[in-house]
Formats: sequence, C-alpha cells, structure tokens
Amino acid sequence: MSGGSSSGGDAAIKPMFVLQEGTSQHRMYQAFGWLCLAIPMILAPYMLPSFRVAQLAQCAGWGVAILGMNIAIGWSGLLSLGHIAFCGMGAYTTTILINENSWDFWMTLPVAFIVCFIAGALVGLPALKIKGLYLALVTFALAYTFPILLKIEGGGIARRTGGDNGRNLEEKLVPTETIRKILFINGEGTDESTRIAVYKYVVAVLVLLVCFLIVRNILKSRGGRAMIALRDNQIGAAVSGVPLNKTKVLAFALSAAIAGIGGSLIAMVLDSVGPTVFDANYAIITLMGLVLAGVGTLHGAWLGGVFVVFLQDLAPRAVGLIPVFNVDVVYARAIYGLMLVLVAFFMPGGVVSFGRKWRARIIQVQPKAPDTSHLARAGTGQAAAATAAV
Amino acid sequence: MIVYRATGMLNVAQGEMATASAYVALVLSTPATPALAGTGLVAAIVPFSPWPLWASVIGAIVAGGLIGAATERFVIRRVSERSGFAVVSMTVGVLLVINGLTEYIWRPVTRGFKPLFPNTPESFVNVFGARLRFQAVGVMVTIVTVLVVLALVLKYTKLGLAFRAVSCNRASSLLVGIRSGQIMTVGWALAGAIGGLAACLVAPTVLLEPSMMVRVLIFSLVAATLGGLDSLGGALVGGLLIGISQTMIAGYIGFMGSELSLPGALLVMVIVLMFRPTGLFGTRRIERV
Repeated sequence: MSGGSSSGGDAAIKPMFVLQEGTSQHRMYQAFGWLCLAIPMILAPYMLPSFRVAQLAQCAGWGVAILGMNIAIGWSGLLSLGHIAFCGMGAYTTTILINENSWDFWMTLPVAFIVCFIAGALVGLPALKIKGLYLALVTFALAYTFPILLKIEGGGIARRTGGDNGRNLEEKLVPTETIRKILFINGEGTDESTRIAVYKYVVAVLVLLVCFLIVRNILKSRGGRAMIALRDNQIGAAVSGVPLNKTKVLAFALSAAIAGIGGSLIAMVLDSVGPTVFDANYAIITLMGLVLAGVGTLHGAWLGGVFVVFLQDLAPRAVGLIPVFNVDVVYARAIYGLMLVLVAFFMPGGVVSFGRKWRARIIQVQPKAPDTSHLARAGTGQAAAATAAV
Repeated sequence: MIVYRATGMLNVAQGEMATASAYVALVLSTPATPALAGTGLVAAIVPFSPWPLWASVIGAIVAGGLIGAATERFVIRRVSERSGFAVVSMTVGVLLVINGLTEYIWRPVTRGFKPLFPNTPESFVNVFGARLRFQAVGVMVTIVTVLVVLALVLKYTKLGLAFRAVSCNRASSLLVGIRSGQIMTVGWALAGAIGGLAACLVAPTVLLEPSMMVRVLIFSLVAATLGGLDSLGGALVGGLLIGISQTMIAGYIGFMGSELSLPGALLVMVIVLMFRPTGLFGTRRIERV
C-alpha cells in the first residue's frame, strides 16, 4: 500500500546512472522532471480544443478531491469511501454562496474549506472508535445517503440545493481584462467559450498546485509523520507518543476539507452541481482513480483526477475499436473494473509506484549522508571504545 | 457475510454477483425470445429448457457459486497477501466488471421475475389481524433455514471448523494441514450460491435490473455491521433492527419522511458502532504489536 516500499526493492539491478543528492546534476535532474510536468501543463490550454481544456480543468478538480481522499486513505490509513460527500458539501457551499449571497468564487473557497473541515471532524469522531472495514462501510453509507439528504424538503434544503435537478451557478467565472492580458486570451483567434475554459483551467490548476504544496509540507511536518506512523502501526505510534485521537480527527478533517475544495472546483468548472455528481457511483469512481494512480503518493492525486475524467471518455471508444463490440452499448464500468484488477496484478501500488520502480532502474539518487557532526562530538568516547573492543 | 466469516474479507461485489445469477435463473426459465439475451443460446444448448422456476433457481445457485469461486481463484487470491484495502479495491473492480457485463448483456431494463411462492391478492394468512403474505413468509422461512443450516455447518462439521480456523489465523491453519486456498474458494462459492438464492427471492419484489442489489447490499451490509460481521445470529438481529427502525422512523417521527428513513437507520448504525465498535454481537479484536 505504501508507495515507498517498492522503490527500494530492486537493489540487485544496477541502475544506469547514479546521482548524488545535492549535487548540481541532481538539481538539474529534478528541474528536468518538473519541467516535463510543467511544460505540457502550460501549453495544453493553448493547443487543445476548448472541450478538452474543460476536461483538463475537471481533472484538476477531481485531482484535488482525490488528494483529500489520499490523506485519509493513503497516509493515515483511515479507510474512507465517503469523501465524495465532502466534495459535494464543498460544491454546494460554493454554489449557494455564489447564487444567493453573490459572493466571489475565490471567497467561497475558504468557507468551503471550513465547512468541510468541521463536517470532516464530526464524521471523524466516530472514526476514532470504528476501525478498518467497519469504517469503510460507515463512510460508504455516508456517500450513499448524501444525495438523499440533499432532497429533504424541510428547512428549505431542497430549495437551496435544487433537489433532484441540482443547480446552475448563476454567476459564472469570467476573466477580467487584466487576466486576459496575462493569459494571452484576448486575441482574435479564439471565441469567448475557449477563453473562459482556459481561465477556468488556470484557476483549477493553481488551486491544485497550492493544495499539492500544502499537503506535501504537511506530510513532512510532525503532524504528517504522526499520520503515517498511525497508518503503519497504530499501537506502535501510540507508544511512541503520537496522540492517536487528535491525529485521527485532524487527519480526517483535513482530508475532508481538501476534498471540499476539490468539490468547489468541480462546481466552478461544470457551472452546475447536482446529486448525481456526488453519489455512491462517483465514490467508487474516485476510489478507482486513486487506486489506479497510486495510493499514498502525491503524484497519484492529479493522475487519479486524469483517470476519473478521461477513462469515462476514452475507455468506451478504445473498446469500440475492437470489432466485436459496439461503441454505443459498451459500458465503461466493466473496463474500469478490469483495469482496476489488471493494475493490481501487474502494477501493485498503482501507476505511480510502477513508474518509480522503472525509474529506479535507470536513475538512482543516493541520499546525502546524514549530518553526524553532533553525534561525533558526543559519542567520540564510545566510538573509540568500540574500536578498541574490536 | 459468509465470506467475511470464512476469510475475514469484505466483498463489495456480493450484490452484483447475486444479480448476475438471478439473471441466469431468468434466462433458464424463459422460452427463447429475442427480447432477453441468452435465451436462444439456452434453448439451443440446455436440455429440457425452459426449465421450471425451481430448477432455474437451483441453476442460479450453481451459477452464483461458480462466479464466487472464480472470483476468489483468479482475482482475490492474487492480492489476498497484501492488505485489506487491496482486497476491498479488488472487489470494487469485480463489482464494476460484473455490473458492466450484466448491463451489456441484459440491458438496463427492469424485468419481472415470477415469484417463487403464490402471490395472488388472496394468498395470505391472517395472524391476529395482520396479513402475512405467502411470499414474505416463504422468503423469511427460506432465509432462516439457510442461515440455521449454515450455522450448524460452521459449528459442527469439519469443513466449518476449517473455515473458522482459516478466518482466525491463516498461517497457523496452513501449518496444521488445512488447505486454506481450497477453503477460501469454497467459502466464496458458498457465499455466491447463497447470494444467488437471495437474489431470486427478492427479485419478484424489487424487480430485476442490473443494479437492483445496490440498495439491498447496503441494507445487508448495514445489518451485518450492526449485528457484528463475524456473527450469524447477529446478522439476523441486525437485519430485523434496521428494518424495524426504518419503518418506525418513517411512521413515528413526523418530519422525517420515508425518503429519510434510510439515513435514519444508518444513523442508528453509527451510534451503535460508537459504543460497540464491532457490532452488537461481534467479538472484540485483540491485537499484538
């Protein structure tokens, strides 16, 4: 399940290149890696037709949602299938604030974060007691009931959420003149829908990047290590002084909050929300994206978003190429399922850790030797004694 | 449930397996028509087709068993050494495959399924003024019989002992000479077979369609969780509790309509789990570091 376990496995195979961490070559290699990601990301909106750009923006939205799921499932070991409900909460928060209070989209993000953080903490409280598969069941029940809850007539809930039909965002995100200049989308060659698609893409990717950085830093922090310790061995973690209850609730709340941000993004990109986008079906699809891409890896998050969006689009067509099958009647779900099974067989740990394993055969980075100067000062006497004993 | 008891694994695809086997029963019992895929094939290959309903249900049970065994043998076994999460995600994959295939073969259309028990408006018995329909009574009796037989098998036979040993400690049971692989396959086959029977029993009331078991599955999972995943009697009590609390909530708490009765029942489950993390009748897990 952990991504790191596979990278060290093939020590017997000698990599083609060995880089020392911290050297200039290593830095160049890292920069190269980031450029490989960044250049397509920057060029894509200008090269592709607008509906593809819109799809990419959706990918970013689902990517944030999956990043949130990953905090709970991948790093804290809290098996949650109900994060789609938090996504939905974020999306509906954004929609209601924009439609009824005519807020700016950017202003709704922090609110969605806080709403989902609180909701996540509330759901996380039972998670203290309920473990493993039981938790998966309870959270799946949450995913199942969320669309039903949206349709409650009492208290004006159905009026605000739009019930079965969902709601359209009344005030769509439109780039201002300055932003148009910065993004080079004020030219003659494009129509308005393309410009809006590009702008939404940029917004979604920026939010994804910010969330990515936040999560990366949290994972490196004390709290993040506590989460991972919790995943690996709960009792061991408790013995080592990790506050179990606090860490679990915080991890769950944080993951819910980030999933909520993802939901807000999806609402913004689609310009609408509805109960069918945030139901048990999507709970399964997002889980599938996460598992395919790589549980417990940072890059698995956005890749999972790509899977969620593009598999639905491309998988039926790919099967349609096989002459026996007919495109109209092929159901994408069977293909997802098959992929899920095949990936688990041949790429345990998902696509990301599979990639890492192959990368390790070509390039290996040797970590810097740990700084032992303070040890040397304190332990000279012992070291000398040990040498003498040998 | 059975799978969990025998293997300690959670099978999300159980409902889909059951649906597929109910379709098998439907195909076996229908004369060849172009409206239902597979009937022509069955008419050509299977002798004495269309079969009477009871024989088709037996066919469904066999089909369910085969699906279960195949799933275990070819999919689950390859990942069972990894983590619980890997197995759950595998069953999710199987769920998607079976659901997609049933929808591909039989189309997302609701179909009628002839009830196994007499179900005309007059077929009920009067018990203290309450009308008990034959259909409901028959389903109840069948399920209770199956569960009792299963409980007896698990408790008193060598096979049952092997099941319990494997689910309790796989490595040790291997050491004492239990073929845990075979036991697992049998466990999954059993679960698939019982699922097939259950699907044939509920199909007349909920109508057969590719995703009919989703709601049933959620109910049964909730019931099983409530009762304790590793207790058979608990499953029954949990099922009754969920069913009763659902109707009570709909009936007595005015502002919660029938739409909200399921969330209400789920809330009951969450509250119970807060105080009894392994369900009402589940055994507590003790873990060694």
